[in-house]
Amino acid sequence: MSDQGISIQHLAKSYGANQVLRDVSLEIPAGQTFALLGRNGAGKTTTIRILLGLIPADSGRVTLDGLDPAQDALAVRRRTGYLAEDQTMYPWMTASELCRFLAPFYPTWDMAWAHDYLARFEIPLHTRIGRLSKGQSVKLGVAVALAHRPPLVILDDPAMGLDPIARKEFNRDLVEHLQTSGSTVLYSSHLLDEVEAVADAVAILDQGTIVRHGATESLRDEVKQILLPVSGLTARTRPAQLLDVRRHGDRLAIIVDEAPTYLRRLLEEGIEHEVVDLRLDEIFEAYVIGRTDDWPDMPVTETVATVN
Amino acid sequence: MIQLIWKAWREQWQGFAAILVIATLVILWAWISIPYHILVPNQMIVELVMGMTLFYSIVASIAFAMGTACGEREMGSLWYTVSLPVSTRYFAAVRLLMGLAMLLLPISLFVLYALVVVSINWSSVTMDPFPQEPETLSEVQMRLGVATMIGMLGTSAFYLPLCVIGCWLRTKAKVLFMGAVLTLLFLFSIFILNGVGVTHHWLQTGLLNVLFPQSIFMNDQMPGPQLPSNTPMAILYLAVTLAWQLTLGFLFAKFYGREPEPMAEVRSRWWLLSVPPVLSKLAVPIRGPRSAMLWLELRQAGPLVLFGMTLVLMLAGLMAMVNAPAGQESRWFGNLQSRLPEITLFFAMVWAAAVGTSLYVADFNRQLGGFWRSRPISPQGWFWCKYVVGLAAMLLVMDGTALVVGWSLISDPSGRPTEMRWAHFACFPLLHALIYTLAVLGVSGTRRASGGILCSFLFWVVTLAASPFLALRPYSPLYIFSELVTAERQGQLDLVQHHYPLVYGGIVLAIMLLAFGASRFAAPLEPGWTRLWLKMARG
Repeated sequence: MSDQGISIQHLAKSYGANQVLRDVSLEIPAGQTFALLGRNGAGKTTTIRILLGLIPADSGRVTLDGLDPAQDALAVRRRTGYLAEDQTMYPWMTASELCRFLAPFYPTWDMAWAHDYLARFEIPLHTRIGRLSKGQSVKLGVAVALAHRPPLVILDDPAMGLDPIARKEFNRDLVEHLQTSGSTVLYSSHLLDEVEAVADAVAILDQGTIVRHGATESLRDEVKQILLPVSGLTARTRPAQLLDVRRHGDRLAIIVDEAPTYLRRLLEEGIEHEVVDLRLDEIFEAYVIGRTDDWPDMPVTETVATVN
Repeated sequence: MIQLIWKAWREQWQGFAAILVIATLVILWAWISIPYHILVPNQMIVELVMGMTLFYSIVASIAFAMGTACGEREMGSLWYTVSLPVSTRYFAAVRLLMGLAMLLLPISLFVLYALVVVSINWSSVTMDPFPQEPETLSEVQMRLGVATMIGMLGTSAFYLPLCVIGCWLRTKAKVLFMGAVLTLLFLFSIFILNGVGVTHHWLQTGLLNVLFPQSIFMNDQMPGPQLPSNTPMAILYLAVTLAWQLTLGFLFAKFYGREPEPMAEVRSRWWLLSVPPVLSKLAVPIRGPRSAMLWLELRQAGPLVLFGMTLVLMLAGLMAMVNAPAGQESRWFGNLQSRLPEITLFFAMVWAAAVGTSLYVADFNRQLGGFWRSRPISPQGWFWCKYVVGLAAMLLVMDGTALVVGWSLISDPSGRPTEMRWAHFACFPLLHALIYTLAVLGVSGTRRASGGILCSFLFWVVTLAASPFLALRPYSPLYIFSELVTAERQGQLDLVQHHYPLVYGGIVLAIMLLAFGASRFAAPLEPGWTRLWLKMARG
C-alpha cells in the first residue's frame, strides 16, 4: 500500500473553445475510496485520462503516488488498476491468453490471483472474449485490472450496463475487497446510491469545476433539506450556501450547505423549521440542478418590521 | 422516405464531396497537362478516365460499403434506427440505394467533365508532335461510354456483395479485408479472361461476367476496354447481372441490422466451420514486454498474411488449371510453380494495403484503444512492433514464397518458361513496403480504415498522374522495373542503371519518413489531425 495517494492541483483542459476542466484540485489520501460524481460531460473521464497520462493537461499538476503521469505515464500505469466504462478487450483472445499477454507488463502480476478471480467470476478460460456476455466482460476487466495488486485503482463507471443485481454484487465484491486491501480507489459513477455505500469521500464535478468535495459522512451532515414557513422568511435570512428552493404552498423546502451554521441562525431568529437528512443522490442533484429562484424576494425593511 | 434519404445523405455526403473534389482536380490536372503529354490529348484523357474509373470502382465501393453496412453499428445508432416505426428492410433499401447513387453519380460527372475537355481540345489533335493513330470524336465518345459502363458496373459489383457480407461481418475492418479479397478475385478474373491462346468454358466466362460485369468490356483478348463483340450475349450477361444484383439488394434489406445468434445455437451447427482457440491451451511462454508485444502482433499479422497467401495459392492453382498453355494442361504443378511467384508479387501490391490497414484500424477503435493505451504499453513501442512485425510477416510470407519458388526458375532458365527475373525481387519488396507504409500512414492519421485504403492508393494515383509526362517516365518505379526486366532478358541486369538507385533509394527514404510520420500520428490517444485542427482553431 502506498502512502501518497492521488493529488490534482489546478488542473485545466480545453478542447478548442470548450473548456472541459477548470482549476480542478483534489487530494485523495492513500487508502481512501473516493467517488468522483458528475453528469455526462462534466469532465470525469477527461480527469481520469489525464491521471493515466493518456492525454496532456493544458495546465496544472497531477501526481499518483508521487509520480507525474505527464512525465512517466508507464510507471503510473504499472501501479494502477484501471477499468473503463464500456471497455473492450481483444475479442480474438481468450481470458487465459489475455492474462498471459498482460502479465509481462506488470512486475507485480500475480497469475494465481488472476486465475482465482476468473474462477470466482466463473469466466471460461478458453472462450474468445468476443463471445463473452457483457457481465462476463466487465468481470474479466476487473480481474485483469486487479491481478497485479495495484496500490491505485481507477474505476470509470465500470458497472454501467450491468443489471441491478450484478451491479450490487460488483460493488459489494469489488470495492469492499479493495477497501480491505488498502488500495486507493478513485471511483467515477452515475449510480449514486451504490457509491454512497462504499465511498469514504466524494467530489462533485459540474461543468468542469469541483463544486463540492469532502468526506461522505461530513457531506451528509453539512448538506440538509430544511422545511420553512414562507411567512417567516426575509431576504436577510437567505442562507449563504443555498442550493435549492422548492415552494409547497406556504412552506419552502430548501437545501443548504453548511447546514449547522444556518440552523443556528434560524434558532437565533426564532424561525420554526424542520430538518430532513438527504441521500447522496439528492445532495448531488441539489448541486448540479438546484434552483434558487423561488426564494421569496421581500424587501429587507418590510421584513425587519415584521420580525420586530 | 424523404427523411431516410436525408439521413443517408447526411451520413455519407463527405465521401461524396471528397470524390467530386478529386474528380474535378484530376480533370483540371489533365487539362493543364495537355501541352506536356506524350499521347494525343483525347487519348490521354480517355486513358485517364478509364484508369481512374477502374480505381474508383474498387476503392470507393469498398469505402462506401464499409459505411453502408457497418457505419451505424460502429456509431452505435443501429439499435435506435431499427426501433423507429419504419420497416428495417425499407430503411436498409434506402440506405443501400443512396450509397449506390452517391457512388455512381461522380462517375457520370467525371465522364461528363472529360467529354467537355475532349470537345474543347479536339482541334489540338493536329498540333500534337507525336501523333499516334488519332481517333475520331465519336470513337473517343464511344470509349468514354465504355469506361463509364465499366466504372458503373464495377462499382455495383464491388459495392453490393460487400454490403451483404457486411451484415454478417459487422465491422468496417472486416469489410475492408473482404474488399481486398474481392479485388484479388476480380484481378484473377481479368487475368483469366485476358489469357492469350486460352479457350474458356462458357460457364466459366458467364460466371465471371455476372460476378464482375465490367469484364464484359474487358475481354476479347484485346488490351484495354472494348465494346463486346457478341452483343446479344453481352445483353444476356447484363440481364443476369441485374437479377444477381437485385438479389444482393434484397439480401441486404433482409439481413441488415440482424442480431448475432446466441453462441449455443452457433455451436449446435456442427457443419459451420469454426476454428477452436487451440493456441489458448498451448500456453506459449511469454517473457517480458517485448515478447508480449511480439506475440500479440504475430497473432494479429500472421493470420492476415497467411490468409492472403492461401488466397494467392488458390488463385494461382486455379489459373494454372484453366490458363495452362496449350499442350501443358497435364502439368498442373509445374504450371502452378511457374506462375506463383509473379502472381504473388503482383497480388501483394493489393494485399499490402489490406494488411497495413487491418492491423492498425482495430487498435484505434475507441474502446479497444482505451484498453491497451491504459496499460503500461508504450504507444511508440506498440506502433513500431506492429509496423515491423506486419511488414516482416508480409515480406517473409509473400515475397519470401515468391523468392523461394522463383529462385529455381530464374537460376535455371532452360527449365520451365517463366517471366520471373531478379528485377522482380529488386523492385517489388520495396513497392510492397511502400504501399504497406502508406496504408499505415493513412489509417494512423485518420483512425479510419477508409483513410488507409485511400492513402495506399496514392502510389497508384501518383504513378497514373505522372504517366503521360515523357520527362517523368524514366523515374516511374514501374517503368524502371520494366526496363530492368527488359535488360535482364538481354542478359544485362545492372541495378545502377535506369535511375534504380535514385528512385528506389528514394522509396526507401520515403518509407522511413512515412513510417516515422505515421508513428507520430498514431501515438496520442487523440488523433494528430484533431490536435492540429484545434491548434489552428485557437489561432
